Amino acid sequence: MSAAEPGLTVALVGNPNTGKSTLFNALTGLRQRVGNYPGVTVARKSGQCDCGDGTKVELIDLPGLYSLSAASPDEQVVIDALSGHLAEDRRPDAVVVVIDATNLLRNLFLASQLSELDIPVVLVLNQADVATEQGLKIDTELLSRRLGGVPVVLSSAWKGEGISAVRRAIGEALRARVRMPAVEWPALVEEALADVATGVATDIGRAPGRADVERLLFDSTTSVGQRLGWASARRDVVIRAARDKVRRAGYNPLAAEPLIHYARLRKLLEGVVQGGGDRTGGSAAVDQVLLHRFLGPVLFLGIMLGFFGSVFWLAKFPMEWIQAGVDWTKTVVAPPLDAYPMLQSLLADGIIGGVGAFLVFLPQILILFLFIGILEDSGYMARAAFIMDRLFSWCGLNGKSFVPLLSGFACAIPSLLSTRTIEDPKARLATAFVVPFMSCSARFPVYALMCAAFIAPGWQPVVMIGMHCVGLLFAVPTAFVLTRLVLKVKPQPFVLELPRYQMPKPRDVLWRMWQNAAEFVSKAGTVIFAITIIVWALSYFPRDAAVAERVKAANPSVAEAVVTAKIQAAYVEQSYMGRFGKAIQPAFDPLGFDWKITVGVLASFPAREVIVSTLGVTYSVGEGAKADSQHLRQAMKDAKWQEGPRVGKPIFSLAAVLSLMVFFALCSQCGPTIATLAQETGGWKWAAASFVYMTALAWIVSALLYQTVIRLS
Amino acid sequence: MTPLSQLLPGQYGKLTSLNPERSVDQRLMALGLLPGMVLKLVRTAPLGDPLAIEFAGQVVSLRLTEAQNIIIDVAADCPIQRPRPQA
Amino acid sequence: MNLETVIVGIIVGLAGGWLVRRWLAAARRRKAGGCAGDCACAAKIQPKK
Repeated sequence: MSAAEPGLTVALVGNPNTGKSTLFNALTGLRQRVGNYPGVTVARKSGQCDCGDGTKVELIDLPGLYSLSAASPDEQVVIDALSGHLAEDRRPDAVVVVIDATNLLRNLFLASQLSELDIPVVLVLNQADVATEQGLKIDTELLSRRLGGVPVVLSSAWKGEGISAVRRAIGEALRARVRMPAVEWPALVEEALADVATGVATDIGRAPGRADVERLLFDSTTSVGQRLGWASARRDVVIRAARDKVRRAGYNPLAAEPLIHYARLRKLLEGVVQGGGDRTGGSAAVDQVLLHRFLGPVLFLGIMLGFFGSVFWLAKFPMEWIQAGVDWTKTVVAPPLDAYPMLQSLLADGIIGGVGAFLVFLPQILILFLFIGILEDSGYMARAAFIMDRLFSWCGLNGKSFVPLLSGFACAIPSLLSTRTIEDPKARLATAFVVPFMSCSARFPVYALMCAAFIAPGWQPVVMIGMHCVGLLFAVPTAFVLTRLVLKVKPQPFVLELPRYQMPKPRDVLWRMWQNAAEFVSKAGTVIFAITIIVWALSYFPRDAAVAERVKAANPSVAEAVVTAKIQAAYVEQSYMGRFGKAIQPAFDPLGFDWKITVGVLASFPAREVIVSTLGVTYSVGEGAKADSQHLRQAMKDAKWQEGPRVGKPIFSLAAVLSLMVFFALCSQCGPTIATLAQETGGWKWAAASFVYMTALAWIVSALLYQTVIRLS
Repeated sequence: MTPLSQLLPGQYGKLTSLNPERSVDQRLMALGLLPGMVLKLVRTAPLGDPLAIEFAGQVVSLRLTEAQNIIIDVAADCPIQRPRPQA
Repeated sequence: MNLETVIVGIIVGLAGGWLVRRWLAAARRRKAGGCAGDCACAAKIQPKK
């Protein structure tokens, strides 16, 4: 994406839940790219779209919003993008407003505001199929005429209907360039607007755009003044005077905009829509159950439980296939290299063993994202936020924190970025601080590995959920203390639309799943791959032949195979990794960790998933690069303490397994997350605090857990 | 003249006044909740807070504290106009 | 010093060098206000769209 692109750009805007992204996918045919807007979380989604007459335009999917008076930096980005105030993007050449055909009035408010931006517009009345089901008849011709020729098109994006009409309408808008007709403000209001414009012009020497003037007059808080470089002292005087004029016109200046726009929209829509039955009926019926006093939370828990359970057993077979594939690869790659043990080990134990151990979890990650995608698209996410809001407000947050926190279960980094939708900086900080407690998908492989190896099948889903709950368990008091005592956050307003329930569109959900999969695999292929190689090297070298001699000498009468195994184990202990791990291990002994586990935990700092590959490497390397190396799981099951007070006992006792999982759940060990936290909080203070707090908490809780469980069993 | 927070689930009310100084009310107005409009309290959340109110064909969640400052006239048996844009 | 050692050394060196470069690039990006994580966060959950 470069600023110098000569092609035409068209922006896609609209209220949330209008099927905008579905339409975007349909128009671009998945020829999309995702980029970044600096400073905000919203990704810049762009794609190529054919206008049917050969013209190709770049289509930009902007986030949904209800009004041009932005409440958060994320919403501000939309406005900046539309008015061409973004550094890298030109003003779009046209705007497509995606509208829910069943709720024209409210959806048109945004479109009506677009008249102040002086940009050609296309209105797409999406979800037309639902409108028809409700018995609505919309006269698009009439509406278009009343709007002075703005193209008005019906579509049903998820059914693929009306897409070509949308394409043609875009082409038409680019040619005819019809804008939304301007609002006729009452005389005094018009004067007030002119006063503000003059005020700005005199003070900064430049005439401001119409949109900026309206924002300055009508919005209680706006960054426009700052952006224009208008000194606040002068600004306040001019705006106060202008707002007095508006009051004389009979309107509260902060209410004038919606009052006047809606009044004109009502007139515009007279006779345009006919018929129509119960709009919220179907969803209301479902909500009777899903939001019921008692059933609601019960079902919420049930849905979450069911999800984790199904992630597990749905993923079982694919996981076994992948594991078999990994093992097969090893048997193919290893034998030809028998003459080169070092290279053989690098390939078989290091690369295949390490990366393979990570790849095996692809099915689970996929299902996780699939499920979250379905939740979002169906509209249930808003209900979940509705149910949980009470809890959030008790912690001083509000339901707005729900999505960032929930998405923390996928990955903390975009979750931290998405806290930018929260207006109050203190609430934002509190939410960001709590995000790392949400067990991110990188911890999933660890839980899954431990559960698969050591937990009885019936208990596996319970333990999986339990681990995710551990994070929550500590997140709540942390949030409470942080918001009430440390930061003293003021209560947050919370207005959230509960959208109509919709069937998630398979194409969209699967497309997102595909994107996640591609990212997961590429992460495996790149970062994990590289780290695994480093870890392998640290576990392999130095290889001193004297070690082998020593072992042979100490075991003169033991079987060949056993001696070989012992030699391998000794080699690993002597490696750099081994020495480091053994040195640190005493600090983790109260948690029941042996040095290999310790090393795995510490090695996962750059990326949490690395612990699995590290364990894969250290256990694989330790038992020799045999062509038929056992699964990591079996290796761990067989691992016993070689020395110390627990010698002979299995390392991975229940206590140790739980302790490891809990440690992983609570400790803040992900370098990129800490770096992002530092970035989002504008300094290292809070990031450092998070690291220290969470690591200490993890250590204490895991130690307590281990010591307790080991005494009970 | 009652605060919205005192409506019972299933009851209707006609909005008499908002306070545009507050961001919550601004949001509601942008969504189309304007004086004179009929709304309905659909339900309260399982934990008692927030509330779900219906107006102009949409359902919106609102906190109890915010609803306390929104004044309505209780209209016991006035059904919400199956939203015509003119309504 | 045989061929095997050299090959292994090259691979390990490349891996390490690549990682270092990547982390430095992430640090630079962070300074410029962009995304600090070195995973392509595009595919994750988006805020309410």
